[in-house]
Amino acid sequence: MAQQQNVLVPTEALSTGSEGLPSTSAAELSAAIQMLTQATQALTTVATEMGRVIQNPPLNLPKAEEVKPRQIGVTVAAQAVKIDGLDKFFDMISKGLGERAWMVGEFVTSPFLVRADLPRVSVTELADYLFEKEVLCDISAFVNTRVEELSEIVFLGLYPSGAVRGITGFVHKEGNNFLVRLEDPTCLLDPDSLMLPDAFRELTYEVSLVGLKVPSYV
Amino acid sequence: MSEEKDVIRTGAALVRCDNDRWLTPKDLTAPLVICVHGFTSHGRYMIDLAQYIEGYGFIAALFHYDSYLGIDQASAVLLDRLQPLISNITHRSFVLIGHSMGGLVARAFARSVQSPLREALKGIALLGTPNRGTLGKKKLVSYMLDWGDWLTGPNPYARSPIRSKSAKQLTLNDTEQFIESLNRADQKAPLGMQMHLLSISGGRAFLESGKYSESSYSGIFRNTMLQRLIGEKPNDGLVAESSADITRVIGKSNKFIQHNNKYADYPRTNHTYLIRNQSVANVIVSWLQKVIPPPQV
Repeated sequence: MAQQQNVLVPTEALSTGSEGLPSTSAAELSAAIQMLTQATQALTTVATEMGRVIQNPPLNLPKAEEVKPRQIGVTVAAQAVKIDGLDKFFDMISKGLGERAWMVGEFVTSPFLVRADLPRVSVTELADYLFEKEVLCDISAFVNTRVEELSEIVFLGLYPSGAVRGITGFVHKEGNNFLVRLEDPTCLLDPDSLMLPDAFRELTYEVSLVGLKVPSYV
Repeated sequence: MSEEKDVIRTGAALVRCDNDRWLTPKDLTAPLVICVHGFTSHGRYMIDLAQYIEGYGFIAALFHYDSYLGIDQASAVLLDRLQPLISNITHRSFVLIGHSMGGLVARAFARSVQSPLREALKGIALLGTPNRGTLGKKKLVSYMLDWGDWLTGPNPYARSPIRSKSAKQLTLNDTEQFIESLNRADQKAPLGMQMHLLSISGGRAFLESGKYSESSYSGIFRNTMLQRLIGEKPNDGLVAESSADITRVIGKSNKFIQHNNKYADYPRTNHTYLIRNQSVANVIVSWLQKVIPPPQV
């Protein structure tokens, strides 16, 4: 019973602080309250999002509804990070190279992991998003090469599945930084991945890269 | 293939298909059929077709070569490897079968070869050959390279912007405009006036480039991208029908110059399986028997 006494009755709940103001219909007041509530929710969402962005600046995380087809010439930003467990990397890439494992002796850069966050969208939407885009990545920490030799560098990629592929990439220098431009963003997808088309989730695409210098006899 | 047999290390080789040994005059006991593989591939990927052809009384050879050094370079190297065999070949005649870029190598060879080999070359078969290049889309070459890597093992050197002359030629980005020049020459004076030309295309617009291509996100995504880049149907997953059909490229169709997309397995044959499909092989054998009749088997 005591609890019942503390419960606001409808008449109390409808008190809006407008008492004493010129007469306003209950419907108008209700609409105004709804607008204020929605505005408060929107501001809260914006503040939360801003806080998240400040803490975790996105590499490239457009929402699905922001994906527009044929954004020609735009690059997809990616991160190059150090690989943990280089022994495992060399084991896997040697195995993946098979009869061409001799190429391991031709490596001229440190191996590094290229990682990019791509939107959580369907195959078709991702194709729209990536079509005619390139991946750009700062690899200064892994390259120690004379500028005139940059055009001699080609790349091998090792995927989580163990698949090894050549990767079409071009290194150039901007200021003090070495940047690699990966011509085809599809290279971020593991070609031997078992991931089903309807099982995509928040995806981070990654491939381990290592540079080779084209030998003089080629 | 061991390191010792890797064409990147050994350079090009013309080998007998049944034993992988360098072709010698002793081998040339019947009309010769030389199989020329495509970009980033290797001759051994045409071995099923070559061995099948041998079963019909021809001598079949595989030409292994560094495919990224240029279409013209490959045709020059093929000519070099044939030099010691000229007298034996001209005695019996020969034919080239090119898969994908290998068809352009064969066409370039036919344009540049001199007498007496020129008269001995009786025909060229083009399987899924991009006779119009890859429409200048650089990414399409990346996909060709991915496909080649999957098929024959990784070859990063083919992706070198300075080394891969073939990539520039195939994308029509070479200053010499090699493919356009070849097409202009063939339109003006078709090879088919002196020899037979046959092109065969595939009609399945899906290309494998990994283990689970047909069911995985990656495989479906790659093919979605590829189809957008090719931009027209039908195609074989990599090369459009309009580029594979030599009669459309050089604008002539007669008893010497023919295109075939009417074989039984056309709808299910993609770029990879053009060289592994028996229905296609039967079309080729039938054509060979008209062009260079072998001794009775």
